[in-house]
Amino acid sequence: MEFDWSPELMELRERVRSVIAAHLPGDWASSNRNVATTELVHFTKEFCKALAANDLWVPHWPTEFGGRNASLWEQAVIGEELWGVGEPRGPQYMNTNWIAPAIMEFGTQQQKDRYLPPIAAGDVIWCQGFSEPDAGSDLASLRTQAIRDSDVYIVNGQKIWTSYAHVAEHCFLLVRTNPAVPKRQGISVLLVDMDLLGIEVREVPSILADHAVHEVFFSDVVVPADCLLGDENHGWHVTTTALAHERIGVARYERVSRVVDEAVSEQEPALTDEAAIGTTLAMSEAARLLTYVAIQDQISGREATGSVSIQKVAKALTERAALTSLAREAGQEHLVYESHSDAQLVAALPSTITGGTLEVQYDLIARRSLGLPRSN
Amino acid sequence: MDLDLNLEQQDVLETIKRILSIGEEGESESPEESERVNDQRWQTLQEAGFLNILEPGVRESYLLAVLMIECAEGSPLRAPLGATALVAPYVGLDHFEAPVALASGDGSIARYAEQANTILMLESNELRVLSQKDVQVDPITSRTTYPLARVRVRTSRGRVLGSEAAARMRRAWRVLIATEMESAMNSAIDLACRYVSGRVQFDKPLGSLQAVQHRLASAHVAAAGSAWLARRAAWSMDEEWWPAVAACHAIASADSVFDSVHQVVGAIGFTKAFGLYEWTMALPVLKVEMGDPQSHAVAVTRLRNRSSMTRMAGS
Repeated sequence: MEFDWSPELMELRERVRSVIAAHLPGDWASSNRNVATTELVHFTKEFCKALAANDLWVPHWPTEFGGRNASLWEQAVIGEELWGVGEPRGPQYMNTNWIAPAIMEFGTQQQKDRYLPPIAAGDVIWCQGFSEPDAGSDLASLRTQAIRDSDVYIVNGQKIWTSYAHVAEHCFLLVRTNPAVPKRQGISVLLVDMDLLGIEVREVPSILADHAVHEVFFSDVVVPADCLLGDENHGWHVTTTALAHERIGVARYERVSRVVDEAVSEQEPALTDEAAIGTTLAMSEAARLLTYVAIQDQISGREATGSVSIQKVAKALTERAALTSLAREAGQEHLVYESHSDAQLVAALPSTITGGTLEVQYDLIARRSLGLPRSN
Repeated sequence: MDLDLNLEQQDVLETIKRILSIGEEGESESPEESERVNDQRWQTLQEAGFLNILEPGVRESYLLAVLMIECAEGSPLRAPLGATALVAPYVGLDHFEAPVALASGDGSIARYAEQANTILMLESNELRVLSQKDVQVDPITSRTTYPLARVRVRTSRGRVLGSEAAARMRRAWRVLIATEMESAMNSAIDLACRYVSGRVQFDKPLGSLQAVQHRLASAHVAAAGSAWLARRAAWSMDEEWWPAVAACHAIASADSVFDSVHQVVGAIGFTKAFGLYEWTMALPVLKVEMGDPQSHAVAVTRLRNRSSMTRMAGS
């Protein structure tokens, strides 16, 4: 056990910082990532291309797909620096962190040839078609139906809470292909072009931001059968494998630390509750280390230890603690749109819900880390 | 970065676990027998050289010392291992007589003060090295796990060391309380989990109920964070930041862990026979051992602010 970054990783961190400094506009705010405007999407594509040009975009990918098998630690360093400035990769962080790895692991050669190069170039937006009106935390209850008809699937149903759907070119879509078997056994993944006839995207107005979330309706959408990812009815395995990548990849603690720094330095010299700020920063550091533990588990080949859920909970609680302490410091000013604590509200509110709710994570921790009996 | 134990660390911890398990069977027979076994474990640790595990300037040894203390705090050993094997050697004393107790000022309450041959007293920017003859030690009756006593300095001020030694003591002490608290929290959670897994109510194990699971899962996240921060702080004990962060997090986590484990086990948690108090009633002592429990969190804010200001000035 030791906690030092190697000289190579320290050099990498400096390199990421210099690329960020060179390509991030001066008026970039850490809350920007939550605003999925067309302008932002355009910016993130340009930014991701700059990362790609500097070998900072997909170094963790296998060499055959344009990466160099960089370690998970390298991926973590890059993720920390980018999340620290508000994740200027925008929606594309999903592409490299879990959509592409899922395609590499489960895709056909044709799918790899078609989907991976644009992701590797930082030039494509994906959305994830997971939640439905009656399938939220209980994702396996999803009902969007895909019926095989010769060499196509006919898709009907509705997704909800879909971020980036209004600008996405493709959707990583979960569908039910067999309603007659236990629910986790009848799910498949389709890689769907979002410009197909019969797909309708509607914004769900929210308090978070314009176009933060959407509904996506599928009405007799004809999807080529070769868009099936992995085997038919094995989509649950594909998805859980993919989500494990996502839950580790989000370095919320780094952004929280920097947001608190920024807010606190503006409050100088009179802080209302120094202890609460200090506790938030300590929680953030704990979340950082617990994320490293999950990464180490993955490197060392330990499965289902619960560490992925533990770091997810720690990060979400850090977001909430930061919101509470920043709001307290700001007083009434925290009500002002896009103040530090208002921006923190936008980050913190979904953090205990997206990617698996806090309660789902607690269930997993109870079983996997604590060995508590199942609730039957 | 490698968070897995290396072979040397594994070997050392295995040996320490063996020593800490000496006389496990006969332990609960009588208080005298327990005390004899406790002394035997302490002596064996001492003879095996584990009280000298820390090598000044070698942070691998700081981490090893913390891993040892984590292990010992989760065992039935009741002895000032951390003060003796971590804090006193780290401070850089040329010589001292073990065991060591730590006190946060004249008139403060300290653990193991009656048993100690050396007392390190931290007073703002000064560290006093006191022997038993320099102090009056009055035992305190309390419900907590540790033997406590009030320490008053007699006429001699002992050996007085300056601000650098005081700062070193403060950092090491923060690492120590963080380590002992996380170990106590994790031990309490382990015991609570074992209990609720076997305790059947409403025709099912209590531990299968989500209300119980979620409290324990939440406690586990907090305690796991404290554990890794303590280890991280050991690695960087020469810096102010990590020890303050580790102490702050452990103290911030302690109340909710205490509440959760006692709540889920119910009334049996009040009993001495069940033993939960061994871990939970250590927490109130450790929280205030260095004085104001909020002081660590305040230190974190000030340290961070100072470093972010420096960063901004340098950028």
